[in-house]
Amino acid sequence: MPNPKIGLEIHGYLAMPETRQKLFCLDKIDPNAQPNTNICPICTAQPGCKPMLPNKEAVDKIIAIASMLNCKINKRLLFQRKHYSWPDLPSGYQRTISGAYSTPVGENGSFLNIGIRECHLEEDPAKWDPLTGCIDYNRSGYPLVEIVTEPDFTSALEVREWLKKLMTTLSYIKAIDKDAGIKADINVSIPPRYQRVEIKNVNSFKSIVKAIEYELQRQKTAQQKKEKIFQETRAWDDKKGITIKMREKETVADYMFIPDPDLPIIKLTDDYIERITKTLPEKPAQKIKKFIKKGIPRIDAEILASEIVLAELFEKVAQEIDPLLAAKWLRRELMRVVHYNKLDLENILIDEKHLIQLLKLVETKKITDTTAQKILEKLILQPFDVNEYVKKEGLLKVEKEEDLEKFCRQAISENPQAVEDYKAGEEKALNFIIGQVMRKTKATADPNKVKSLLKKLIK
Amino acid sequence: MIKEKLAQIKKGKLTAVQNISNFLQKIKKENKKINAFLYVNPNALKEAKIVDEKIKKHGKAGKLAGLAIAVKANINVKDMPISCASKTLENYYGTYDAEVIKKIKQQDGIIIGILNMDEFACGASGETSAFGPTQNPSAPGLIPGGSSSGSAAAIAADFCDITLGSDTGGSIRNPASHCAVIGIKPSYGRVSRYGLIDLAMSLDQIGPLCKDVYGVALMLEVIAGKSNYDAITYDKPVPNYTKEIDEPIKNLRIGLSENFKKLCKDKKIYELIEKKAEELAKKTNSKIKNIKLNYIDLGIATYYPIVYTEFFSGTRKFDGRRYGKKIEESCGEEVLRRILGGKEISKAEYHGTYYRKALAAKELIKEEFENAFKQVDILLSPVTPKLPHKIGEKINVEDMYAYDAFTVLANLSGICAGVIPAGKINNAPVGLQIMAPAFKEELLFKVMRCLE
Repeated sequence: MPNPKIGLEIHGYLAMPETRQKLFCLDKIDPNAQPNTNICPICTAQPGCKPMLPNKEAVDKIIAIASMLNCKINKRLLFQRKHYSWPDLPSGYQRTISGAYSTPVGENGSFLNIGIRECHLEEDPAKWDPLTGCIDYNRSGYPLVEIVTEPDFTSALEVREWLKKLMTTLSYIKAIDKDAGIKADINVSIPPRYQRVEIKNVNSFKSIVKAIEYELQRQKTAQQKKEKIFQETRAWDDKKGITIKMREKETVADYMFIPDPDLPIIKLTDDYIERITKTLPEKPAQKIKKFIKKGIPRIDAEILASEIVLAELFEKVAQEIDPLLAAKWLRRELMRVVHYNKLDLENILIDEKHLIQLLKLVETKKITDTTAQKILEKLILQPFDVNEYVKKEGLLKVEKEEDLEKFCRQAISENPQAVEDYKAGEEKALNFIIGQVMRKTKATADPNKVKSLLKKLIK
Repeated sequence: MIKEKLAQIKKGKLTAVQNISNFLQKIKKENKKINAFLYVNPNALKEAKIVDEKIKKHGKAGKLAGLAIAVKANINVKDMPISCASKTLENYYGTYDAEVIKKIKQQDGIIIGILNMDEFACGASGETSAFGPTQNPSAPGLIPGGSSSGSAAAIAADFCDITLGSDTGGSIRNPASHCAVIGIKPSYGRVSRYGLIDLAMSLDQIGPLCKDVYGVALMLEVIAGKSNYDAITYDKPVPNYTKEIDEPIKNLRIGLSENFKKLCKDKKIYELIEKKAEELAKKTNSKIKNIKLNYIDLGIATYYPIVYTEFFSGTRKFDGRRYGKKIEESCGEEVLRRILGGKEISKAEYHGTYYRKALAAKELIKEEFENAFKQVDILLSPVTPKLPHKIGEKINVEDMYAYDAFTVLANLSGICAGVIPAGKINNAPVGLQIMAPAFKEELLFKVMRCLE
């Protein structure tokens, strides 16, 4: 049985850390601003206004995205006007590098075996609340990226896994504003006739999976009942978990695309494109491959590569420290501490120098894992010289047998009751005494060693 | 004359307040008859007073100090009614200053009021305004021309010093010719369009009208230049036009064309143009060369699909959700014709049927003019192929569009063109059109100065 065909049109907000400005005017991009505070004649389309040249940062970003998706990059960028009448669109048209006669910024790419038909840049309309009728023009003119895949997916789960990897890859170049989320239009068709049904405006990974699964089932059922499947556009109802027919298929002609006479064609030179693509980081898939070669289990490698800060930190640390130990500490301990403190990897102050210091001490067994964990908790908040700190605080592992024995004897003599209880067969009492020893050694002793030593001494 | 008046204002012999108040009185008395002004700035005198104080205090002021400037009703002036002479925008007040207005204010020009026009600049006669036709002060009873009808009539009637118009296919030059005043359409990308309400974005330019060449040159000097707010403006230095106009010019290659002659329905008009050409040749010791311009009869057929399509796009914002009324339900006949026509063209545009073909023809005409300017320095032609009709006379759409045959060429090829009075035929003023290569406005001014 041939597979269904699923394709995506993914819309995401470009991350614009440098200018934080809209695509065709100088207003700030700030999703948290009071409504209608970051607006001007241009993004509210006052009569007589013209767009400024597109924000260079957005153009650079879209080239970077196209390159990360292995697209052919077009050197002639032509903005078109896509006309439609809707309350959120103040000018009555959206400016986009797409549509009939356009050449998208990137085309004919592929990402993890899924074809990328094109990726292009466009402006977002305003935010319209159909219930109150209120329009917030703050959002009008935000730069959007649209990525269109070939219908190469065959299942909802495949789509989900692929999307996750796509987001990771785009996060490497800080191209997409992750907090703003993504929106997708999904096209689903099943054999043998492959009537393309498009589902509009699905807003989260979860909904994307649900919408695809629902639509596949709907079409299969229809086929079994010998009903005709129409080429049409459907809406996703997130609450009910179903797709609803919106309209018969719409054609590109309905949007009445014309090249925007207010904007010149932007011609990119080879040099310009190369300057951008040269500085792009390695892709996550390449990193994972490299990590696995170092002997890291795939699951750990994938987590390490999930964020570029983590991946790059690991690569630096693993030059000095056994990669397996480094992987374990970064992927588990560092992430635990970061999450516990509700921090972001991008904002922590710790760098490879401190991590290497710390993990050297672990690797050479000069401090215990517990000590290292505690130091790490402090390090991510305020970096310091780990070697000096360990010396000053007396945190080096209690190595000598006689020192440890001294602490054990003290604990025994100070806690006669617990000793009696243990002798009477209460195992828990021994744990209490171990705890006392650990306290005296500031947790620099090996708890297993303490346990066996105490057992020997109490007998 | 503008130069002399400016000197008097700066010396204090004539105050800005006196200048403005003279015009205000004249407007009050005569505008009812002419209908050139749709709105008079109630603060004009106050603003003039500030300029006078500035001159008193510092002994100097901006380049337009105290001059009365009136503005076509499709150029945004903050807090003034910018109706485009349409019911659609009847209640729209400019929410910001167009860039040209900012520059005029910086140079201490006084915006004295807002001028009548053909509705949304769709017209060549000055008759399609929702607020009544403009009369022709230089030829009562005849159309003043359009679409910048008020901009030409206000100059002809001495209502102000300089006006701004907009020119998409002749909208400055056509009324300048019919009203016997001077006007120019600058090269495409010479003046920022930011604040000019769209007719056809790839053709629109703002330009000045005045009684003398100096005034037109002075205004262009103020408003021209690269702007970040109009992405298609060029980064070319703005010459000191007012200085350059008095430099003598000699040994020009003056161009005429048999193709112009063929296109000119009224042979008397062309004879007058030939006479003017000879006069210029004599004055400047120049030679006249007749050149071939094979594609110019495509002008109208190329121009209107572009205008229809872009006008349809530009008016989508007047959807009734903002700025009052939905344009299709509140506009006049000609505006509606263009919107509906533009919609049909845009729908068919998926197949590249008309608009892109028109854009290709536009390139062809542009190339033709580029080649022409390798053979000659300037081209002389009529402004309109026929004399103006009487106000109210019914003429069909094709005949109305035919007025544009000579003027659309400069817009389609992006070059600059100016109009200067050439004489009268049957009591109707007739202008001479001078075309010069893109960004050679100074040449245009020098030639106009010779003929002034």
